[in-house]
Amino acid sequence: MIWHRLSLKARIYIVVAVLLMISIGGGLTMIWYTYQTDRLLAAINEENLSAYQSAEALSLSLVNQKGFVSYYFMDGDPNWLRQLGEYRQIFKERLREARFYAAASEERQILDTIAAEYSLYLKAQDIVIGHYEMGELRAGAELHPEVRKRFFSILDLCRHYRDTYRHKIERLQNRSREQREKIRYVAMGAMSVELLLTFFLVYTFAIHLLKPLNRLAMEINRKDRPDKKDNVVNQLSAGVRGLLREFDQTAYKLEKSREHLLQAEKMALVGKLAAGMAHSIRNPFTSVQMRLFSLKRSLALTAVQKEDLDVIAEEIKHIDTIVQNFLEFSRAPKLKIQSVSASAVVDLTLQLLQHRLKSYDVDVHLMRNGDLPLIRADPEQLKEVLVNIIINACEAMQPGGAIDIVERVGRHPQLGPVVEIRLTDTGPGVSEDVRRKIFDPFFTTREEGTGLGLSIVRRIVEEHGGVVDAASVQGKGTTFTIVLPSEERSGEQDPGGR
Amino acid sequence: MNLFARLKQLKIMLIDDDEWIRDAMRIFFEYEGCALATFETAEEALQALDGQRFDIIIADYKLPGMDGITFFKRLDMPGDSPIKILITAYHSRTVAEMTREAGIHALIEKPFQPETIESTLSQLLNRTG
Repeated sequence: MIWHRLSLKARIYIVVAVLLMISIGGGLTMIWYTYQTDRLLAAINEENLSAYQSAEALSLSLVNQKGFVSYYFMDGDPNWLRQLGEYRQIFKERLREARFYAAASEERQILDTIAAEYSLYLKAQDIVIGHYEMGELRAGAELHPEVRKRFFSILDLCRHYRDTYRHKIERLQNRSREQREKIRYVAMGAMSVELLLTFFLVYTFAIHLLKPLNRLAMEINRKDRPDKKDNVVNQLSAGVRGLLREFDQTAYKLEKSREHLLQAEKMALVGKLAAGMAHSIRNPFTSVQMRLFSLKRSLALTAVQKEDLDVIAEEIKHIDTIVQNFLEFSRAPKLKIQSVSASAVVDLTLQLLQHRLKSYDVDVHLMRNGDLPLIRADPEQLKEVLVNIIINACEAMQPGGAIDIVERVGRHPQLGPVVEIRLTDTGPGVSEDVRRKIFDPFFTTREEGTGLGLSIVRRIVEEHGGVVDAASVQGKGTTFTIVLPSEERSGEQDPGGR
Repeated sequence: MNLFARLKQLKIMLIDDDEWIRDAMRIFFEYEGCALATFETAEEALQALDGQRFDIIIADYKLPGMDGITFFKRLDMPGDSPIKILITAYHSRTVAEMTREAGIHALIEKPFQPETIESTLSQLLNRTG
């Protein structure tokens, strides 16, 4: 069937169009009918009713003429004849009036007949009256029944004339009633069809739209437990928004984990290299140091020679520090995850660095609104992050300055609920160019730096599933922001679990 | 008592695959009048230990063949156990844990100064009496 091949949209449009057509058609029919009724009623009222009334008056005025000749015959009073004359006049006027209303030729014919008959009647009556006036009572009385017969035939005509109008009015009334009935049936039919179509529409909406929408909304919002009072469309749009957000987060996580994997592979290779390098460098260093020691012990050295040897030893130490940092950087830190408040780690770090901060002449201002919530993290590694950032700041601020540490909780667009530690120094700041490379391995602006401290920071923060970011205003200072996911989310998966 | 005076009465062994380190260490000990038996691999050292007893054994972690920690674990012999020192160029948390588990007395990171060897030895000798 064609109907089943139509799309839902087309079906609904068709049903709505039909409903609309029925409504408008029904309305138009009603309007048309009221005009029709008006016209009918007007026809009845104005013309036919007046015509009918005039016909009635015509009959009445004829009836009124009856009897006067008889009265005159009985007492001979001429007053009767005068009154008769008045009524004759009235009848003529009524006849003129009736002619005015008579539109159809049939009616005019009747009126003409009435007029002709009436003039004959008058003549006959006048003859009878003439006989009575002359005193020829017998002759008058003989003609009198003839006159009476004419009178009744005219009266019949008048009544017939009146009845034509009554019938006309009745016919019009019948037509009006028939039309009303017809309209009633049409209206009832239209209402039934409308009712049927409305049911169909509601059914279609319920089955094909609301039910799937409801199901969809329920499936989407299964986790979020939607507000039952809220309508399904709102629920659905909220659900879709949630889905999009989740999709966004998942895509972000996927991207991150892919980066992570790539980075991990690279680092595994670098780690192997570093281990091999450490082994091959540290062995000769050991033997060099031993030989230096032997030299110092066995030779009588001048002060300058002794200093030379000390410098060599120092430089070896420096190279070894580089190797050490490189090793640390390349080694995937095996996180020992536990529930810990980042505030506790901040406290521990500040305690550890107490003396060094003093020697760098750096004041630390800690801004804290109660301890930060628990996160899943390795406190040792986090401590290393903070130490690296603080020492970095101290060295940048020489000869002294201040570090503001702000702890707060928040919501990250991708990570969800997070804790944030923000460290701002009063150092010289860095250019945008430097800032962009600040976390890159081996990037350094200092001669003694290894360029690994901040790359280790980023490494560890990312191992924790967090983000670290640097912002700087040249001449004002640099701000490092560490963002770590809160326990409620990271509890699902162990960020260090690999 | 002076460390080296005590060491003179003890038999000391070093296992390291790096010839330069073996030489440097031997020179260092010999200068103080102490003998240092050196071996390139753990397998050779085990052979030497078959017939004689050493009081102090210093072994590198990374060796061709058997590594230093496995070597010390193999060494679990009855009676007076020797002082065990592991030296390594590749220090990590894992190595530190394994060292502790293997019952090794000390872990020294390369590159070390002779002073570190001295202080570690005197500490361990004082502890064992």
